[in-house]
Amino acid sequence: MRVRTDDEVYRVDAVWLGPPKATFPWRARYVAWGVGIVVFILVTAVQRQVGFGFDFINTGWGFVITVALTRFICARISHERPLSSVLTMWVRELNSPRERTAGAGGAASAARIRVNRDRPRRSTSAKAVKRAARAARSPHRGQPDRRKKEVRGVRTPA
Amino acid sequence: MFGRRRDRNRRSAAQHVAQHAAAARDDRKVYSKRGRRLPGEQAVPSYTPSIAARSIDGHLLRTGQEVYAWYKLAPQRWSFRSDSQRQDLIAAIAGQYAELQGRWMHLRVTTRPYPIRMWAEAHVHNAVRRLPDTPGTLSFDDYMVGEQQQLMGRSMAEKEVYLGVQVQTRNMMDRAVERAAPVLRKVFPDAVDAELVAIESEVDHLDQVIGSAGLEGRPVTAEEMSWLMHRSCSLGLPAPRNLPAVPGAPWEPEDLASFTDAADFHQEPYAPTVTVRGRTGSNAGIKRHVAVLTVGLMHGLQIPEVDDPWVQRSDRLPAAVEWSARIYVRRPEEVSGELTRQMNKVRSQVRHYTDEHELEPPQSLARQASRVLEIDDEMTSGFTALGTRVRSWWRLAVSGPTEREALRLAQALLDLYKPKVAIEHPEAQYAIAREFIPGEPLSSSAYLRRGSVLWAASAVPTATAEVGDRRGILLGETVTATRRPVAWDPWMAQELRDASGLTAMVAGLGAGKSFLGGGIVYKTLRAGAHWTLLDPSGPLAALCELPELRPYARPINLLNAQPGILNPYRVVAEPQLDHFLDEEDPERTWRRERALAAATRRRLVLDVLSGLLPFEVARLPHTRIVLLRAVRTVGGRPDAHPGQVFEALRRDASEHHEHAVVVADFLDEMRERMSLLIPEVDADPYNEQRDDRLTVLTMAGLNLPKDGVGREHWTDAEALGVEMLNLAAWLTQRSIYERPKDLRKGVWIDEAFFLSEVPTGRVLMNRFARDSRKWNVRVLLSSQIPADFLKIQGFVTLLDSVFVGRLDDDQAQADALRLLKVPIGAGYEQVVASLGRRPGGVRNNTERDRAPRQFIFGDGAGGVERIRIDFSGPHLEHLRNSLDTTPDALRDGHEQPEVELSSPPQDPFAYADEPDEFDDELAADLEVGLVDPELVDSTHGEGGNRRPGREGAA
Repeated sequence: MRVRTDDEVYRVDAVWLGPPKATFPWRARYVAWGVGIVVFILVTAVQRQVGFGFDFINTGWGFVITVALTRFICARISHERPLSSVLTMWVRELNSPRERTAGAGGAASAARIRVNRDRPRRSTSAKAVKRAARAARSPHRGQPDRRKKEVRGVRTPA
Repeated sequence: MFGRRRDRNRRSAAQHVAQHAAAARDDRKVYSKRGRRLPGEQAVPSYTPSIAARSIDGHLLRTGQEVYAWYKLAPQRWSFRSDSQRQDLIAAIAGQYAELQGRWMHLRVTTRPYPIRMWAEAHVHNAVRRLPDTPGTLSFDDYMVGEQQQLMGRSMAEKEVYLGVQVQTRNMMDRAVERAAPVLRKVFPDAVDAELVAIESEVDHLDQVIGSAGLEGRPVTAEEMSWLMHRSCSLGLPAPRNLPAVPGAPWEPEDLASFTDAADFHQEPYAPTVTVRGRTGSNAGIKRHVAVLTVGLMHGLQIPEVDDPWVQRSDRLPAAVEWSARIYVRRPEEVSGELTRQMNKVRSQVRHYTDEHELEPPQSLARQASRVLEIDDEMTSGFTALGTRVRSWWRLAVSGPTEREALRLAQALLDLYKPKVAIEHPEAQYAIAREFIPGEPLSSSAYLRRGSVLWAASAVPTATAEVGDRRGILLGETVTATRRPVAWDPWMAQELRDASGLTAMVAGLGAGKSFLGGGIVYKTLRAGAHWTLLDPSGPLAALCELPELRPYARPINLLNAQPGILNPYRVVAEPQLDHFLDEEDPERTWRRERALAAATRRRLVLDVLSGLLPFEVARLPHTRIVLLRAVRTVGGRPDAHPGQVFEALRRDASEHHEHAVVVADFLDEMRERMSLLIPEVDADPYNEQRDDRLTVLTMAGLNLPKDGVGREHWTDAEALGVEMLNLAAWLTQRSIYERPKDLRKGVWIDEAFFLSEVPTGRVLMNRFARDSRKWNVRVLLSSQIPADFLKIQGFVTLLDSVFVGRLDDDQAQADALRLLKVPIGAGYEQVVASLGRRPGGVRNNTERDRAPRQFIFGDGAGGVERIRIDFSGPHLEHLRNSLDTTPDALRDGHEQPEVELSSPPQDPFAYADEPDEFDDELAADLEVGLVDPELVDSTHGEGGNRRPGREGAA
């Protein structure tokens, strides 16, 4: 049993030979014409930006550059790798993750953490002392000591 | 893991910072707002997997956009099948693809490594009741070490093929529901499962399509899905030694981190490979370079006839190749529109050349036009959908520890496929490597392959070259498409597959039968089996001399043994009641079996005595009548002996009395020669019971007819030799009933050709086939001529496994293929002829041909492959030397005593030199004209009792 792909059917080299009865000396695919036009517009735009005037010489050079660039691009695309997928793959190449050679961070350091021996407490005024004494006398007054509540769940060093 | 996550990490880090800041703000407020201090569950950062997959429910994998159902495809045998069978397989697969119109498929081929270390574990685990080590000899542990060293670095990797089929795409609602699932599950639980419930019937339909013959896929289990995800996310890395525990519950996005965190990928711009770095588990710190390739243009291939299936071809590479193919099965209307466009393109080009520019159009345009018409014709003709078209992208990945190594493998792959298939090495390696992960989208449309479903099916990724199992003894390695160690557990068929334990071993002279059989016996003995060998010529007795086996082995030269050892009444085992306790009605079964055994004994005696009588006497009808009568008079008790038959003949009181006396005289005349058949008074050799692991029965000096000599030309001594061999075979068969049922036992009968020569051979075969499964026996039958086995009616159906070595005769080759159940006339005869043949250049070599012998091994479980027997490890040197049956005049004559031993029994036959004419009809007469109705019934009963079940199992 002979099995083969259908790829041949889709490999029609659609070329534009030129206007009827005026055959160009080269054969370029339609896609090359398309690429060429875009490249020419870009090249011209760049020329204008750089400051070259719009004259015969400059446009001629623009043509030459366009042909060179188009040939370069078209050498890289084929039926197997259409222009769109070459561009996609180019983007993918740019996007792919790189190896990180530079180390990030280094040893973890706690040097910048401020450490105090004691936590700040309320100043021991006469009123507070009296209040503490009252709390010590009657611990079940319904309103438990706030400080006690705050340290709930923390084991005492004892 | 993958680079796209970096920004996400940053984002989540930012979130984290924000949360902490919020917590700090709360701290400040704490004095004023009591009890608001703990942030609760808000602190858990949200996690989004870096891969497209979002959840796995059963065999359904959901990404943001689609639902895929994943299947594991069954391996398909490819070698030693006929072209039509292969074509049928391809057509069946193509038919299944065609049913999946409008769907995307993701085909993944991966391997599950099975290093030798794991084989050794399984083997040791399987070696129950193994031989105790003898001090000073090769211990079991050393033997296992030697076996592993011999195959150092090899793997019995198993190819696994998975197929994901798109079930449907997901809409915004589905995604919203999934996102809200944690809340929704409390409020409205049905809504959460609604999506999967809705596609239930469609999934059932897909299960059924993929599960039918061809692909034979079955939905993957959670463990398999986990494996596939792991292998894909850690592409090219060694297999993880321990996978994370697989929950039975659905996989949530957070669970997917266990796959994605195991490795990360990175690459330099336009680098030829992508680097995969293991991060967790056994692969932590391991780096692999993966070269991802893609299938380019392809010539026409002659698939079953000339070329291998084109995906299977990559198995020839000595490294694992991962495949990932995206296949879209197109609807006919999509294709026809495209074809019309292409046709118009061609036409307009032709017009452009000829009309507008008056130029000759290129030939390719005409070719393309005709191909368009062909495709259109294929798609519209016929009632099958085999013309359905697919668009597909086929990627391959090979990996190596260095970039150089990976590229070398990639180059090897390119060369492997040359010139018919172009393998391309595209850029964007990272993006294409991601395609291997289930659920990931296609990274680029480059290297698109279009074709029919038939073309896609002819890739046959499931074709394998596997044979044997993974826990048995090592036999050698396959030598076809792959080099893979072959292990075989001779008791797996009986214990797991409910198949018979019959193995035929067929090979010409010097093709390595004794070597293979001896190796199997030695290795299985070490693993705990008990063997009884019948080796008429005697060289296998050398196995008993191996130091580690000597304490447990007993060689017996039957010709030198006590009189009566081959008493036909005793060689048939007496059934014991306790063997039938698991039957429905033990008592009744036991009685039936006893009757059967008695009938078998009578038949055996009749057979043997007729075989011993001179042809002229045996041929007379009266002879048979009187013999039958005498045998019936004596009965079928196990303590009877042929001498009683002689007496019964003399006492015959019928009208044939005179003839009976004549027959008795004849037999009495030969009584001396039959000393082994008639026990002396009070000297029954069966009184002594011994428990030996290995018993080798030899009959060195026995006169046996040459191969292919018809029965009518046998001499008297040769006829006696065959009858004694038959009795000896019954004796070996008897040995299996003396040991516990579950114990692994083996019987090897060399020179088993006689089974087809004596009428009771078939009865013996039936007994073997019937009892080998029940009694856990492996029966090896070896012969030089496969036709000997084929002559035994129904033998092929009873057979479990087959070894075929080199055979030179055309007919023998065809017969061997028949034993293997391999198509005849498909070119495989040459394979049999070429097994282990040494190249012509060394024909005149004076050195011995020590190249490993090759066999075609049919393992009874569907695998048939060409294997090379390899017992070449240094730890087995003593075994090799003892099994060396090739004569060598320069060797020391240490076998001298053996000759002396075997010479005395030869004397009785010395005067029997008058060649008596025997007739084949004798055998036929006995078979057909047996007048004892009970005898006929019982033999039929034995043959037919459980035949259907057994054949089904075999």
